[in-house]
Amino acid sequence: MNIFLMLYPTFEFASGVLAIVVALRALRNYNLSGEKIFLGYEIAFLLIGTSSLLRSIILVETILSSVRTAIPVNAFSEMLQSILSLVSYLVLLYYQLKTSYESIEESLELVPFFMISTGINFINALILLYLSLSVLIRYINSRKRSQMIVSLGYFLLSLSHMSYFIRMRFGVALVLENSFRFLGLILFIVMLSETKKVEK
Amino acid sequence: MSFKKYRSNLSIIVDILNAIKEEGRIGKSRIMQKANLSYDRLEPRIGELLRRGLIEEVVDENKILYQLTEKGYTFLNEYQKMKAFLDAFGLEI
Repeated sequence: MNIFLMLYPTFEFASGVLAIVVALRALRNYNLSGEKIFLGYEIAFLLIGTSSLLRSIILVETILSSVRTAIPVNAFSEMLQSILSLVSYLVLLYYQLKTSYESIEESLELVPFFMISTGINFINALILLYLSLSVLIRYINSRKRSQMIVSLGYFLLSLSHMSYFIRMRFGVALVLENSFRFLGLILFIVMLSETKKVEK
Repeated sequence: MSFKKYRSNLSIIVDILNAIKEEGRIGKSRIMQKANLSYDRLEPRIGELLRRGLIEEVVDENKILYQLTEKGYTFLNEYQKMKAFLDAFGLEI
């Protein structure tokens, strides 16, 4: 057996322990203060820690077992870890948003809507970043100016969606969101003029 | 939608404890003044602090005053750590 393979579960296990230390600290704070926010952080970090510990155990099991059984078991553990991580990140996101908006009275019931917007903006930003990188890779191969412009356009649109996260804290950042979107779309117009040159 | 920032229960409790800590021994009206609280909001919290053993009642010249207990001082120290914990995550109590 390759001894270096054991490094994966070791790091995973250590990550789990670290997350649980944070969870215990949050639990202690909750017991002292009774503030629900600490309970939320306790649950979130406990889930992160538990998922890492479970994964480390499964990794040891897969390293020690045959490849035939290792692949499905590993796939299952990865799925489980992703789900637990998603739940924990949603809890963290909820409290982050709740704190951001609780200074505005009568807006706490809107937190679920803000959560959905945040999630969608994050997905939008990632999709646009992926599109930008894909076109950039094509540009590196072909050196077509229009592809570079489109890549930059996608990137600016992605930045526009990322600005949403800054706007949650600082309302004035709305100008960033609008500017990035406007500049991104201008680049698409520039791209159109570039393609017209080709047509001529 | 108004933009009035409100204090959490924990912040109010800490404001009360700090008011008591600053004066050593203090009456209700002075606490109300220092912690910027109405009587209705102060009264249940004084009861809560007494129940949790964070403050104690002392009678001085027929006046009821409040002072921090050892547990109260420890709680104020712990609050700084809690605040730092949330601060690290970009949150406020």
